[in-house]
Amino acid sequence: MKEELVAAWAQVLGVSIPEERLTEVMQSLEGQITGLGGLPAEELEEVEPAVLFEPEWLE
Amino acid sequence: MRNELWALSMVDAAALIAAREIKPSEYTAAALARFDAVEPLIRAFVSVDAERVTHEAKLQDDKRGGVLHGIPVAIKDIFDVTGTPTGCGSEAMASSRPAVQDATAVARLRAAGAIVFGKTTTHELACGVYTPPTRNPWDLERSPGGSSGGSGAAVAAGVVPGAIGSDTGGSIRIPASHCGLVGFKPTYGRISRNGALALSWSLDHVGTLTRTVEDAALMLSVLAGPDSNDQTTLARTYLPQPLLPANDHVRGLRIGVLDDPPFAPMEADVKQGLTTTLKRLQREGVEILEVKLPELKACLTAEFVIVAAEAGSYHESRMKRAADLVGADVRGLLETGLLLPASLYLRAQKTRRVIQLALMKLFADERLDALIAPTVPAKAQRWDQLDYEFADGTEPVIQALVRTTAPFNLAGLPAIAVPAGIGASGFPVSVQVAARPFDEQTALRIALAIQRATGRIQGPNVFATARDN
Repeated sequence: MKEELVAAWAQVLGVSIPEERLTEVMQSLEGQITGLGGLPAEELEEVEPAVLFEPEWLE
Repeated sequence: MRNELWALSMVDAAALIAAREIKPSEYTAAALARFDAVEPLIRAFVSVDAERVTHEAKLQDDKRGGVLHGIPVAIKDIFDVTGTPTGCGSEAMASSRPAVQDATAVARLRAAGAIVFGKTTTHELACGVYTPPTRNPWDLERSPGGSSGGSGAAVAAGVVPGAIGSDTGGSIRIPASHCGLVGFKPTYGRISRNGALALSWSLDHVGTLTRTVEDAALMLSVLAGPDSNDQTTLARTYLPQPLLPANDHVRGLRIGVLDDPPFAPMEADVKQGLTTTLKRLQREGVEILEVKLPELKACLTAEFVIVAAEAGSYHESRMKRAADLVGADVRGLLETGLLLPASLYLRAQKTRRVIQLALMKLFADERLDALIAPTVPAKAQRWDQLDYEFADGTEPVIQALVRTTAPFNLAGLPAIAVPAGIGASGFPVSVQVAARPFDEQTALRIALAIQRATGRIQGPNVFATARDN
């Protein structure tokens, strides 16, 4: 990963990251992405993520 | 006894007040005196309005009230308390206006007769394990843990018998372990989060820090219940009453031990504390089983991705307005969270589902009543300590402390940290008991058995600690 890429990505998303912070954010982002967010995709086939939408109206 | 009222447990103090042997104003005066004595050393509070506290206590003197009648409690400064700004330990929120309504948890404590004693420090935005500037009453050169570090230090130093905190990846259980307390994170959805700052909506749990298991049960009985302002609390199984039946025993319960990674590596004191606790439980007739849960290898990664993404989203507008006012460690997490791809967040949530299903299967296959594990793998870190040294290498402090607590946030299970004694190094060690969803009662019963077998550990001598330092 490159700082320029992180800077461009942040700009597209409207996230303001000062230049002096780019290295830290890049390293952190790289660490998270390298960790794959948990288990590898092959072990997660057909698993529904733990994100629940409750359609009932509670009036 | 009057001089040591502050040392009473919440249950004992409530009983004495109900029996009119002490007045709320006397008990609260003892708490205020204790506060005056120890607060300059531990710096656990953001605000205490002694005049209001005294006034409210006097009003209660001639009344009869709920189960917490006249009991002072401390509130982590992420919960709204009417008339007080919710600062969340952040310069970015320093200009917050006073809250116009109590958080649901605070309102429930008051409805039961509790007196809001003051607001306690939090690691910035409830996101971290140091909680500056608060000091650990066991050693003022060490952190009380975090993020509910102020609540932990205040209860451990004897200012109040109980406090509320929040736990997204161990933020109640870590300070409980570091400060020699009982820290209880009930099931996700058991206590309303309404009126509390969010860190990560899907992982945030409200819970308690107390000196005894009985006090944790008492506070839970007040705090639990449905709240239309927090949908996750609706349509849940009610808590059984009494939560801790008299003459209860744990004979015949089956408890699985988790001591592989991510619970290992751990310091020798922690290992010894766990081993001793298991022997004590066996003597009580508990069946102990060694269990494996390889799915937990991915828990820390999933936890950090979910927290970063949700916290980044929650604070997105604040980051646009006031990023410069957020401390570097928290700011980095929020910035990272705002840049993470959705695929990574969803993969973390899938991983979470796998972990949840694996735990469910483990409980069923082994007919378990609970799991037991070290609460954290090491004693409280020094202020300037960034890494722990384990036999097989070094590990960043935040990673070490969260890897043992996060599994039960991801699964939403009730988990209670309970002291397992004092280690050879002179610091408290702690084990945690996790039970099935909404089975807080079993977690409490086992924790009580551990407390009974261990004996209540003597609290820290804050003044001696100050002299030593």
